[in-house]
Amino acid sequence: MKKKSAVFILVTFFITSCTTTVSDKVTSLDYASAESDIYVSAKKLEINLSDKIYFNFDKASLTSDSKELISEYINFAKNAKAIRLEGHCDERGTREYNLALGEKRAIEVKNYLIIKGVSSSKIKVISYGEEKPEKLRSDESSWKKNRRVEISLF
Amino acid sequence: MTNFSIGFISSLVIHILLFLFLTLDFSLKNTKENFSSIPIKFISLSKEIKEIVAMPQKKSIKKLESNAQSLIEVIKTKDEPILDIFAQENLKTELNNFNLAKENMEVQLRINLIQKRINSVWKKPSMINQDIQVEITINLAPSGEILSFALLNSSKNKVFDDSALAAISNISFLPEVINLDRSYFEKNFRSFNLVFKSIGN
Amino acid sequence: MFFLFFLILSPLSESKLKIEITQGSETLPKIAIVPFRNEILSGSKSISSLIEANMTLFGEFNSLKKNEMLSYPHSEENFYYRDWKLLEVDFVVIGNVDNSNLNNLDINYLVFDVGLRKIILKGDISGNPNELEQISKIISNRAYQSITGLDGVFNTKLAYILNPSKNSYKIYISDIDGSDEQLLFNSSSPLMSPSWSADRKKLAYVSFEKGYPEIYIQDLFTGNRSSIDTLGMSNSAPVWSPNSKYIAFVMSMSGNPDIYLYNLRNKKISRLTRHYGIDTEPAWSPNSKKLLFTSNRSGSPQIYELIISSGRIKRITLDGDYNARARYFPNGKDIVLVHGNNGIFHIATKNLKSRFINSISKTSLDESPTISPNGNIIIYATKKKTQGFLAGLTINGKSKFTLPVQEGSVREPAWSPLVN
Repeated sequence: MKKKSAVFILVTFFITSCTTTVSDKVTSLDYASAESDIYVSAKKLEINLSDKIYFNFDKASLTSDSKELISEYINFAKNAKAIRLEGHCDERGTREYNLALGEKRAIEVKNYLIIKGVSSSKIKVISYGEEKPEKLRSDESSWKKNRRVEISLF
Repeated sequence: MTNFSIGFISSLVIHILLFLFLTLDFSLKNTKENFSSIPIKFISLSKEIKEIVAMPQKKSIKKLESNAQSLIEVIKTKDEPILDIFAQENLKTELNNFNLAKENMEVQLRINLIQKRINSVWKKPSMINQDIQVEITINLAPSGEILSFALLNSSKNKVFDDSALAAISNISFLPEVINLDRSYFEKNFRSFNLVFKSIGN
Repeated sequence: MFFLFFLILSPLSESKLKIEITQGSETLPKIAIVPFRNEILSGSKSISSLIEANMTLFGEFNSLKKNEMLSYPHSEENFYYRDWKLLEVDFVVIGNVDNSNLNNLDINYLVFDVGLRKIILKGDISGNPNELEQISKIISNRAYQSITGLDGVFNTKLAYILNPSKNSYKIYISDIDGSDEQLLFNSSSPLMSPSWSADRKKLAYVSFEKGYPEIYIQDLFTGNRSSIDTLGMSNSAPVWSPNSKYIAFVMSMSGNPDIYLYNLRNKKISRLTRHYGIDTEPAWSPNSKKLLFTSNRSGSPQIYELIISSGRIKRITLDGDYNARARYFPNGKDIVLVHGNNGIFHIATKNLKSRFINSISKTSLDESPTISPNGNIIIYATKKKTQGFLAGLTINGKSKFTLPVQEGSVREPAWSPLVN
């Protein structure tokens, strides 16, 4: 378990008042149920394949090379208990947009796996955006490595 | 009202003529082939007026004056066989235009210099994309001394108004007008308005 | 068009000559903060040097050094405008400290406009000697306001994310001058997107502590944290509405990030955008009626504006291949955004009604701009080699500054609102 600590602080502030209103005419939301975290307790399967799919800048679409690589995963994926797809971006552009873009990348891989017959219920998608780069430098070769989806089978 | 209209229309007509003359060179083109011995200088004069009005410099005014001088000399040469009435009229018109252009240039040169001086002392308040302006009227002596100034149209922004007034009070003289022809001074700079502007994008 | 040009230029036109002045001087206004009478108190900095540090914090003014002053006037009677004009000073602050009661200082001060030869502010303030920094901030705010016409922001705060080393993420808040920093939360998983509540009592941010991005609201008084209940779905990019009623945020249902609204009173969530592309980075208009957001629905990230009551969406940016994470200026008419072209990312401003995008930063990986509550200063994140740090500039482009970096990378600055 990761160590977390909240440091409680006391700051004295004054109170302000606001008078503007927002008209609240929006449709209400139906919740989708949360996905279970099977992989957390499961052991990661070691597979002798590159576990990284790379992308072009500001793109979530799979290249033909990527599709080939994912295809090699299909049989392992079908037999795995759970699949985790982690989307990442390079540092360029904005953080929150990149968080969404990383998710789109992982979803793209997920959809390809589903097309190839992998059950969608065992695929877990998550994005770290640009928060966890593999390379820290600001150059094309680092950015290339950082625009990725990492595949883990359990 | 009618005086104004007449003034406006005649001013418009004069300007249209001036504009056509400066840009099209139509009259000289008509006569160009017939009077091929007229020095090239004449033809280039109109072009120079055009250029100099856009960016007046003391140097270029002098150059224009010397060109005009040779123009005057040609007109004076009455027995010049190649100049018929039509050509002489053209040259007179051009000389007249030259006088108008000269005043324009002399005044514009001072305007540019005054703009430069006031810009250098105006601590313009920082503001994003606001279209505001304050107009201040200034009374000047021919010596360049600022005799008085007053807020004419407020920007409704006190800090902006104050910054403009402070800029003017930081200058006591506008020496730019000292060497200006007196009639030009009276007409243009005896009393004039400064408009301080903040322009949005 | 050309006729008009000549008519305006012509000295022969009927009306009085008008000369337009639009540029202004490149030099900054010069201020002098004269040492206050009786300002020397044991164990603290002098009031005048505290005020001077505040006034010059963002590089908006040059200040005259104390040893270059011709005199130290303490009252209107011994203040001579020509002395200060000679030194090319535009504004002077003088003051007196009444320290007869050691538990309650009484301070009066004056601000002079040297150009106009007049007093533009008379102020009185009293307080405990150990609140001298706070008192100086208030005097600075008042003086700044009288000189610039803008609210002083010297008692505002800054929240930011610090990434001191791999797998270490911290949220700090500090005074706007970087002092008095306090750790709010510390995690081994990424932290993102700090956003202040309008009353400055709470901070919302994104934490990955559960393995996916989730919004937390932390009370700054008690330290209590709570998350928005979205039944385990990823949510991110929280922004507090200026009227304190809502948090706009991003949630992704089956891989489709859209903008949602969280009602802080009844805890209800409602959906605002519905598009298969990416919709993210919401930002509230000052009147809490509109949102800016980033969407790639056109193929590349661009800024859109949503009117909440009608749901109408309008595209705001048209030029450039990457326009994202916009924020409104306090006037509600201009925005600041991240503007990218050919892989270079600058901070830029734009008027909502004009097409023109005006890049204002010079470095190439600039992001996360945050605007001072008075609209005059922007702090943003940038990067040098592998280190992220914060930089700032005034919107007239005359002043640029960087904020001191500690170890590691600093990013995502969030300027607190003003609190009166």
